[in-house]
Amino acid sequence: MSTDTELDNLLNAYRVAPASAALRQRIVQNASRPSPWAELLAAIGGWRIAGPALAASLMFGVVSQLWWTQSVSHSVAEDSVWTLAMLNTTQEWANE
Amino acid sequence: MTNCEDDLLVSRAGKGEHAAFEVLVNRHLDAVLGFAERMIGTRADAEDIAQDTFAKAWQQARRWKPGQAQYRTWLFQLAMNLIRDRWRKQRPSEPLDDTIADTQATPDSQLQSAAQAARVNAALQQLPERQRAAIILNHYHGLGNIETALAMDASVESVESLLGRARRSLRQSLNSERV
Repeated sequence: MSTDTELDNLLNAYRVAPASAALRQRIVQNASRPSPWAELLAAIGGWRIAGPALAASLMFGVVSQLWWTQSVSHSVAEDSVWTLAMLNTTQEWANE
Repeated sequence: MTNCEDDLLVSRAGKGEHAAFEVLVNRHLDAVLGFAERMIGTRADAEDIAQDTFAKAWQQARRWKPGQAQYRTWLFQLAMNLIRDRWRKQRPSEPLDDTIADTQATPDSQLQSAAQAARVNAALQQLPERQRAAIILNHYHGLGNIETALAMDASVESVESLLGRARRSLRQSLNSERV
């Protein structure tokens, strides 16, 4: 085989059978099926309900995080005051 | 005209119109299946790839931007990525099994052409992945160098070089089998 045409002719010998009707049908049916996310969204009432619910839960998350951070930093500050004073507030020491 | 029609059909499919998607499947399934079968070497795996390619095409139809590339080129790109993923996860199953099995009960001329097809398939499977993709897209699907480069996410120069090397290797391996 010396020329490009000869190689092309040989390559053309390798033909692929067309797709079966069953495969076509399978592909189209798969597309008709909604995605699991879409199904879940429909089950919880669509975006009109899921959207505000998601926003509210996000807000709750942010607010509770802020509140928790503030309360923890307050207690740490209190602890450090006692430590600085080299005092212990446990019951054992209080009794003595 | 065909590209414009494809663009229209994809935008309709992106809005959830199944009939438009069905037309796209009927138009391009054979090309995608042919590409996958020649890349992988086996029919069953190629059918899986074709199915996954169109599933992705359906999911991403909304993101399709007309005018960037031909829809068919984009499908080849999706198929190529899926084939690479598959190769990363598992080694491809042995090629040629189907072809050899099919040649058992056929008349002489058919047997001869089936044997020739099997030889070409074997020669293609020996090529490195990128050379194989380049020659399949260029020779079997008639993509020009620019479109092949787009489908392969490569430069036009590298596609030209891949095609040259692929042709040389194919010529060598098919010649050596003849002797």
